[in-house]
Amino acid sequence: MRFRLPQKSGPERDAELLEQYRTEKDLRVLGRLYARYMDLVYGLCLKYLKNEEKASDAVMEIFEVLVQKALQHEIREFKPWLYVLAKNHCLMLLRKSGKLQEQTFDPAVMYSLSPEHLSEDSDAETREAQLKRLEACIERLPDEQRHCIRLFYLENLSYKTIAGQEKLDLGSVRSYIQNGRRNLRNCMES
Amino acid sequence: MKTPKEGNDLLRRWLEGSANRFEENRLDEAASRDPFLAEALEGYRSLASKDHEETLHVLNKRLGRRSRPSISWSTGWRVAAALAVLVVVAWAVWRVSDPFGQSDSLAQDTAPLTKTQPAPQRQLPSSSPEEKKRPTRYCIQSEKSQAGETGACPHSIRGSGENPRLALRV
Repeated sequence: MRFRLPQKSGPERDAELLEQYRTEKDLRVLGRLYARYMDLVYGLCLKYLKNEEKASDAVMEIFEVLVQKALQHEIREFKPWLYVLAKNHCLMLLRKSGKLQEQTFDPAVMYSLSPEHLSEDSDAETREAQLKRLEACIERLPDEQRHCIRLFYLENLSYKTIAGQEKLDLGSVRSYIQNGRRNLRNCMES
Repeated sequence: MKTPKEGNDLLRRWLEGSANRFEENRLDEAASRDPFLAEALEGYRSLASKDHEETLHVLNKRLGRRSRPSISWSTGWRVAAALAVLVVVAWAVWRVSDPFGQSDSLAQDTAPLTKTQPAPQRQLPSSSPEEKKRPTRYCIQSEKSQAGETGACPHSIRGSGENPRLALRV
């Protein structure tokens, strides 16, 4: 079980915590607020910095920036504001290291491959043909990818359950499924 | 309509590995409406084989330590200065009150040395029979004494200035 900083839940809590921090300047309050979004900030930093250590350091640097800026700026909605702050910080780090390139975001990459997403508008015959093709593509996958894809998509098991069942670590299962999904997509589009 | 909070919860379940394909679909749908979540998910998926849970656990600890109130430098210096003053005052009070009555112990220690003291007998090879019969004399010799006087007092206690206790020469 992961350690989590104690936090209250509630729709208006972000604004309350922010106001409390601005009044009392208590870092514990800001820490509780930041902890709610640290998963998102770390993932964002991973995307841009592509390195766990650099991303971890960036998460803490962003908190230091937040300590100052939360007092200086009027913040209406914390989450979108933090998103911009974190993204700008990562881009600034990339600019400093001379590694800034145009980042492209392909929404299709985010979209899971599943039978529900196969040409939903098409008729039954086309859909049947696509399913057959999908099955053929699955058969062409490397063993580990094929096995994990089947367990995840056909038996509806979670990553953790597959990891336990197959005696694999969670990262490997996630990696097999992700790579298998990409290979399937390429196979289906070819 | 899915709320941003649900997106965060789904991400949490996905990171823990508890998400099944239906939840992952919902997560992707939530990400399509939330650019912060979308970019974070893209980041996690770009390093899919890594143990993100462990890293996030460490980050939570780091944040906890950073958020903990600590004594600032200025406060620390104030405390140190107050302690130093306290020590000096305590020492001064102890000296004035003199609980053990030892303020003039040095003078008391030196007092016996101002008198001629019997010393252990020592055989001098060059001593004549008359000298052997003569009792050994001790005297206090200060640095101010003349060189000639030293010869007259073979067993002497040499002192520095007014304190003869500091050197003993026989």
